[in-house]
Amino acid sequence: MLEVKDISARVAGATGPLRIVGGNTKKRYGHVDESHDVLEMAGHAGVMDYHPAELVVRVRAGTRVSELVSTLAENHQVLAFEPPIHSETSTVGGVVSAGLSGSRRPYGGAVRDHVLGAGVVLFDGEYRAFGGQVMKNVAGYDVSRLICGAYGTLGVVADVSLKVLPAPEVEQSLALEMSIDDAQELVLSLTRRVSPMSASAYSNGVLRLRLSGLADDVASERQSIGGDEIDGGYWAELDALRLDAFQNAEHIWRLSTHSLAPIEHVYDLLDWGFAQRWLMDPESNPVSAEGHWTCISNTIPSFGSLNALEQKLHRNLKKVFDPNGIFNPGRLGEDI
Amino acid sequence: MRHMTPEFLKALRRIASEVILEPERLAVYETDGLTAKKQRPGVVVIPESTEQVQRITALCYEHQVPLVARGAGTGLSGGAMPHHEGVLLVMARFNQVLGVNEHALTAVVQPGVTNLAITHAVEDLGLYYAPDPSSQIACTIGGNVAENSGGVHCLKYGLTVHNVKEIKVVLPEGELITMGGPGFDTPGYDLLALLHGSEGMLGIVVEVTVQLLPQPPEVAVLMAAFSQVDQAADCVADIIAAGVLPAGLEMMDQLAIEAAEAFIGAGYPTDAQALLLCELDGSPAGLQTLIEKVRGVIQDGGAMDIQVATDAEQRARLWQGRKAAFPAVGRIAPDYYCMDGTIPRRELSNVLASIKALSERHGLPVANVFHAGDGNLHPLILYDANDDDQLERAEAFGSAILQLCIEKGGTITGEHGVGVEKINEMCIQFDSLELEIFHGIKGAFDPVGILNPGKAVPTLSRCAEFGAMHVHVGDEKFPELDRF
Repeated sequence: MLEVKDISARVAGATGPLRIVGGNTKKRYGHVDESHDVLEMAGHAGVMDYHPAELVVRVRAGTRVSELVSTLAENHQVLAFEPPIHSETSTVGGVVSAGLSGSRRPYGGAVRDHVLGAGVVLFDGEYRAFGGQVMKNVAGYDVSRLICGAYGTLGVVADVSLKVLPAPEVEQSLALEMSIDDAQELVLSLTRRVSPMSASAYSNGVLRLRLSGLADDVASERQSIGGDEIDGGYWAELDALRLDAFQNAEHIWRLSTHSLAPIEHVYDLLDWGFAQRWLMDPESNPVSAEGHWTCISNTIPSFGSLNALEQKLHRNLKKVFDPNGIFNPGRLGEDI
Repeated sequence: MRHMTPEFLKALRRIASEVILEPERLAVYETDGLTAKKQRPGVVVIPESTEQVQRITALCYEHQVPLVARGAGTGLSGGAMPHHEGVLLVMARFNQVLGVNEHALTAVVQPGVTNLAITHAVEDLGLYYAPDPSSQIACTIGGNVAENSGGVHCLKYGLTVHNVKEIKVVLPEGELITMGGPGFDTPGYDLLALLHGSEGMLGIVVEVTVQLLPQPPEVAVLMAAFSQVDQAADCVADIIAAGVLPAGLEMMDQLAIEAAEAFIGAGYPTDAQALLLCELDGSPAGLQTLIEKVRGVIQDGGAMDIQVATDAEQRARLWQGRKAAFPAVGRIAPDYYCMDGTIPRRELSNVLASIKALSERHGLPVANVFHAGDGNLHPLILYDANDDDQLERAEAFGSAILQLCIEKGGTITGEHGVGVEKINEMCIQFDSLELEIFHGIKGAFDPVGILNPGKAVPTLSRCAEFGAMHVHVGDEKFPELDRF
């Protein structure tokens, strides 16, 4: 078992940059410098506090996401942002640091929407606690949301407190063959009213939807939409980029845009209500009028770029949290 | 910080037409919703455009003059209390809904638009804006972002931070930056989240794009009255444990019930010790299932009276008492001091018992209204502001409640913000290492410290002077003493 004091000692004694690693399942996200010393977090694991009726769970960062998800399932609860589980070894700290949300993102919110608090070890090796274990908390700046998606460039996430929600009574997934225009129109019309839709993806002429909620609501929506029932396991495969479309791609390009943005490429897959779009190994780096591209790749990883003003704020913040530049330097971009 | 020079004021007049210096007109702005804290601003400026805000900010930066932004002034923690030698930037003229996209479910609004006006602008389309702080008729969306405001429907629909897609912000040197965007994420750090609840310390919000939601087809309100506080508190946990996520779940204690009933006559049983209001929404069929589930839990929990309202008029009647609770309490005492702590719900009975003991110790009555679903407690301390001794006791009582919230694993503010009101208690919730990071974040945006100086984050020397010890969750400050 790795304790906070061990993490603190590693950080305080660091003579150069540290590469913070949980399950090491996101090494294709951002610039990973293999020459940096590794700080293994998987040993700092376990649920610290969980009272189901409070809808809050506090876990150590090295806890496996798969284990947390089963613990919650025993109490009929879920993480509403549906964390992608790239492999059994994926950790909660990794998912939070990478800010990764799954298929439920447009309907249930992002990781950062469910982070209530975080304990972090910063540049001096000291442990600091931000946020808390309660639903509403506006004391101090929201550092625990800031660390979501920061890829460990601000500090070592030691533990997080997450809001959890009751699991839906029933879930049903379906597939419908239709044109992309019809699919977009259908998804849009479901978004426009209260609907149990909890996931949507379009690829190769097929729209897949998931309905989650009370049995009556799911049944009546199912009746109005039609389609063939499919295995609900599809969504976890999609979120973990394990579908066939993703399997053999060297460079996975992801466009984050909005649902109504013009469709400018022949995408391999479009999900999140058409707001997240995927291209495998395009001949040249794709560009779009709206949104930003991320490339998941061993050789040309990249996140979207920042303008000069954004860069200034990012560098200033990086200096506050990591003045010596030891936490995953360069992972998120130049100087951060 | 420097003083405002004649040269500075002259430059200010060249930028904005409405510059107020007359003492009698400045007096209007000397306080926000926390009326116990007053400060006359050095000068009030009412800009009309983003460009003016940029130029005013840059001028203040150049002259190192404090700048405090103000929306409707409904804040309850003194976050918009002016600086006596600084500029108060009143955003009242930024009152336009700039556009609604009914397909993207978004509205672009100026920061001075009131919270409720957003819903009014879109309700004909079957849409609404979910966060609903109790001051929603008057409070502005710019202030909601600054305070990360909540409301009755947070448990299911989230706080302001969960319902805003994009903001345009003027930074202290006058630059305009966009945070967030029309999609679900943006590159880099989540500055959009960081700005929420930053209390006007990092930038001035000049435009907000909010997420809208389709109106639920059906809504019901259940009222349950209990002869014991514990029963009501247990019921709250049992409703959640039954897998129901209510749209709103509110609780009132005996004094709050009595005051509300005397004021508005909502039909609450005045012999009850506690009252729960549970709002449910969904499809017609789904809603019936939820109502039966919750009714079962409440019956098993020993409620002495249950009422269910599905039509709009009955629902409004049941809600009326809760919504009028603050003014109702205002009728039974010359003044009240509204507190805002959050606790883990399982501590509710303990905390209410402790508040009762504190009430006796400080010799001031207290009424409790409570966003029970998310553990956000609003004790209303009754006092007379004309009696200095009572004001002092009210503040001491309030501070004791906040310390109690921290000891029970909660926080000193759930939705009202720190402002000037809870600045000392920040020294208890956070230690100097954490406060240093907060000061660092402030410096990353505002190195000279012109925006809202002295608010939200205490200096380390202030904490030393306050003499408070940082309390870790679960530790009590003097464990050897009886904790009532």
